[in-house]
Amino acid sequence: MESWFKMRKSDFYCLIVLVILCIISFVPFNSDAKIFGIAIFGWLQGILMFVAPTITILFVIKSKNIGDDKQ
Amino acid sequence: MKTIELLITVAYILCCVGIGIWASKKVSDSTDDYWVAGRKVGTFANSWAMMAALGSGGSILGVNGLAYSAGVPYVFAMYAGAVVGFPFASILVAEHLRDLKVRTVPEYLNIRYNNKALSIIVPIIIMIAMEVYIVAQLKAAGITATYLLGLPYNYAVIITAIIFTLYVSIGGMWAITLTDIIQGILMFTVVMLLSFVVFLNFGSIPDLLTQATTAAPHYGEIKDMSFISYAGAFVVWLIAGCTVPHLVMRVFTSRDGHSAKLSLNYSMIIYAFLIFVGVLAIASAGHVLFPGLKDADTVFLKVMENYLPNAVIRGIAVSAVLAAVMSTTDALILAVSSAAVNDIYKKHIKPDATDKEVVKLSLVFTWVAGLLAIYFALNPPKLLTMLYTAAVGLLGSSLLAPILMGIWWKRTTPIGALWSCIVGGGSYCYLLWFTKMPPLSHVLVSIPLSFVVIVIASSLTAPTDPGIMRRIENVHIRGEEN
Repeated sequence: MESWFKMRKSDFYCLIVLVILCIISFVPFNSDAKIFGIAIFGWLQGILMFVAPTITILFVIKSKNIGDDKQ
Repeated sequence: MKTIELLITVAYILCCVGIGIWASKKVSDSTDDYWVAGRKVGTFANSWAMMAALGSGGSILGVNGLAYSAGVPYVFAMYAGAVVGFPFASILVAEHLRDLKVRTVPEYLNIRYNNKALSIIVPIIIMIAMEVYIVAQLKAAGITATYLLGLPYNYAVIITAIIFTLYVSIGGMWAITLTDIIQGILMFTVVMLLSFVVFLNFGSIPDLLTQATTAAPHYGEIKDMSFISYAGAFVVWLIAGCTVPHLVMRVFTSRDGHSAKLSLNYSMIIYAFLIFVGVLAIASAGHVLFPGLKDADTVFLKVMENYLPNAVIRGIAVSAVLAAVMSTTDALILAVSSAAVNDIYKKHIKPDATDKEVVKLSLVFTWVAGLLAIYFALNPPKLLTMLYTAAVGLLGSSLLAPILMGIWWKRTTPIGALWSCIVGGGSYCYLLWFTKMPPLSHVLVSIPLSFVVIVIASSLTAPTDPGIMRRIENVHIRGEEN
């Protein structure tokens, strides 16, 4: 018996993308670079707020349209 | 006393009560209607309701105050965690919890683990954590009404609490959903309007940011805190979408799993605008216009008074702040009542209680929870922010591993879940109270620990009943078919 329940492929890929985005958003933590006086790290966290749900919506809609199977 | 502002606020409050009375006709004798709005809420309505449930007084007053004092990078890291938590929740928990047709988080844990100790501990943790959360919200309502309407703090707390307790007790989740939609749209409109006026006055967004960071260079810099403080702030709110009951309960109200997934994400795009645009406009303008504020939490109110001189618009803005408080607190109070009645009374004290009895008792418990919240909010404990964050951290540390592993790992056992809950919650409390770890970083230890415990304890104990596993397996198979 497999130990894990299967996940839809699109959900699995979406999960990986979300984790990667979170990691990327923390990369410039030690950078001193700024845009309009705000640290790049702050801008990336702000952008993440829009990108993460938007990407997930695209995956969810695509998964529904193509009748995705499981990983 | 500011008469016009007060009249508009009273009109808004009467509107909420009216909705509660109208919604009460839908919930007469059905627990499904009372707690999960009959599972009929569509994507649009649920998106606004979810945004309003997350968007508390903290998302209007607190976020700008925190940005003012701790800087944009810190506050964006914390709120990005909250926003990203919902996409994670939409993939990892939404569809499965919705398809199991449960009404509360403890009910899911009962179905998955059927463990008596767990079924008592979890509702108690939820009731304590949610009550602390409610007290923090009521304090915000009191401060707002005092500052903008000139009402005494005590009156403001009592009136606000009575209003939302009234419409929740009579209208249940239907009343919450309908009022949350109106409250969500109201708070979003007011923050966007104020932000637009601020940007217009400064000429452009870059001009405003440049002036703000010139006036207070620390505003744009990474605060002098360790990396794990930032990571902790991110993670504390990341896990909220999967574990905090008043947010998860909105998933149960969705008409199907697909709608639940979409509304979780749509709601966060709306919320992202509220936070991102609001902070860049309001907290930045605060640094330019009101440097060196002693109480940073008043920055939103001060900027609003400065840029919205019209009494009618200001009255609507006061209603929007109260809406933010009420839209979260109403869902919190229902979570407390459902934990007491559905998860303790119905499960352990009187399993043969009829739906009618349960709904009546829920009404009583909603008032008990509301009156308790008033009592504590009239004499709010010191370090309330600390307690409120601790409440979210405690829920995540106790519940994340049992919920996630229960959905995805077949070998998770009831004893494994029980020990994970105890060790996760216990270690969080120990680290919070007895160590000097950086602020908000405690979850970075307690959550991994709870996952380690659930794996080890599950590997060493008897497997879950095959009948339970068939039911969980069926939900995964149905999800595959949908």
